[in-house]
Amino acid sequence: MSVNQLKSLVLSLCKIPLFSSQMRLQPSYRVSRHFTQSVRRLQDAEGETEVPAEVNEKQKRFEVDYETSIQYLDSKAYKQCYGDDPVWKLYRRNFKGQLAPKTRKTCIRANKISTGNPCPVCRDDHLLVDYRNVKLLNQFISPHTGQVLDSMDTGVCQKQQKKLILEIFRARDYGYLEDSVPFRQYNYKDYY
Amino acid sequence: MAASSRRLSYCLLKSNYTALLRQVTFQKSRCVRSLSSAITTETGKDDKDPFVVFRSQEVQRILKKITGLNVEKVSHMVSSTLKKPTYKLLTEEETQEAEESARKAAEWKLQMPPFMLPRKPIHDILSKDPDLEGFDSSKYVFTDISFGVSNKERLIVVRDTDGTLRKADWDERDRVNQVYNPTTGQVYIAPKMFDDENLERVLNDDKYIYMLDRACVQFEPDNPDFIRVTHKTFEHINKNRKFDVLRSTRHFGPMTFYLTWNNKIDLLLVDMIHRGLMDDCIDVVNLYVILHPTSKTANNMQDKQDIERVKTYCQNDAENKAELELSIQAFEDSLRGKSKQTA
Repeated sequence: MSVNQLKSLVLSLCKIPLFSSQMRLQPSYRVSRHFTQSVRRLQDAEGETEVPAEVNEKQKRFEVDYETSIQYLDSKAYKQCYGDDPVWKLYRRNFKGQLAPKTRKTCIRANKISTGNPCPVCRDDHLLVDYRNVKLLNQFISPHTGQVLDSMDTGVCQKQQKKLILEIFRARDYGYLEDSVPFRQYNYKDYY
Repeated sequence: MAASSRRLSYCLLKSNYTALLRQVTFQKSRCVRSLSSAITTETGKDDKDPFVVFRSQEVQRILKKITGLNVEKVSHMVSSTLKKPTYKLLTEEETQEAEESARKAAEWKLQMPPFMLPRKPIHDILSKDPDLEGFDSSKYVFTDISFGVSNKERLIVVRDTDGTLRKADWDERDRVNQVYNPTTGQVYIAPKMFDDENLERVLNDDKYIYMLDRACVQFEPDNPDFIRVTHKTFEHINKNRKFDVLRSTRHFGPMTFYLTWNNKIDLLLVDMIHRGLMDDCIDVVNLYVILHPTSKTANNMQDKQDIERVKTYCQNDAENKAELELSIQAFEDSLRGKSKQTA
């Protein structure tokens, strides 16, 4: 039995709803400020007695496996945080002047968030870019052309963008995502 | 001879080997003949090549008819680039012409992939030259890339490191053909979705059309992998009764042919009756008679018309006899009810 299966078993036995009462698994606190505050307000209204984590403190990032990340994308906490929008929808970049420069190289250095405004994938440590995490990958694919959205549109940092392109390619290879297939015409005479 | 050796160009050519290679051109006509005979030989089991039956006019007519044509479903495709829509003001006649051309384009897209037997492996040694053993650490592949030669007929030979000159096997042929005459969408290493452990998962997600389309692009229709993937998909569809997914696509014909060839049309017939497609149902039974001329159904089929033909099949060869009988009964009852209402 793998560690993940054991974890899910224990969680189901304890009847603890995932992502709501565990501080470590609370991703919404590390999402940018307005998300954090709205989620905290919602939780205060529900009357949960939890000490909010200190946002300013640079914590070691919590590393999730893909199964947890897939569960997270289906969870209530995710829904509260992002609604039905893609994760990059409400993200705004900070830059001077009219024209945005290209996105930063990486948001995470030495396993810590090294910037004040991390990109939409880096800010939430429960979002794992993985070829099996179809719901997340679909948010970065244009529904009209099937191409991967540009990082200038989504604000994703270069490191995550490269990973996204790779994992989307891999997802298509494994059949998790559908791709447009060119039409193949047969010349029946070739097969006589 | 001079002309044919001029036509032959090699990917790798060393002056020492030109004399040795010349003998390949002598054997070209022979190896082409043996290739084509390898493609169309009969099966060992029941002495029938399904492709001969599949491409016959009557079978093609039946398969095309039951496939149907839904222009919207056929023309729905994800394009790779965004285009601005064009708006036109058309008269009534022009509209009809445009519709006609759209219908023709859709019909063209319904061309069925050939239903074939797996190809025979190639083990053809042209010459053994032990003198050349260890001439290099890797094999040499010689390919005829002259204009107008199809992938099937192209001459490809391999000089192994032990000095043997032989014809390239199918795997090597596919890869070299993809190098010199690439098919768009085909990749050098087959996608992992065709592996058995991933195949089941993709099929469980109902991505039948995607699976079949991609198999068409990736594999030749007589590739054992193509046959494995398509047959597994057809089996899955038959098991889960998802026949309607393939209707009005190029794969409906091959699926029906596969099921008929293997005596598994009962569920398909039931599905057709439930959808009120009695004509298609009769056509499938006709196809069964063509493919199995010695079966009980074929023997008892004389001067039977319309629904009687389906009943004959049901009595003689159906495996899910009870279910098929019930749905025929229900269909007849509903017909009677309708005729009463009109009367």
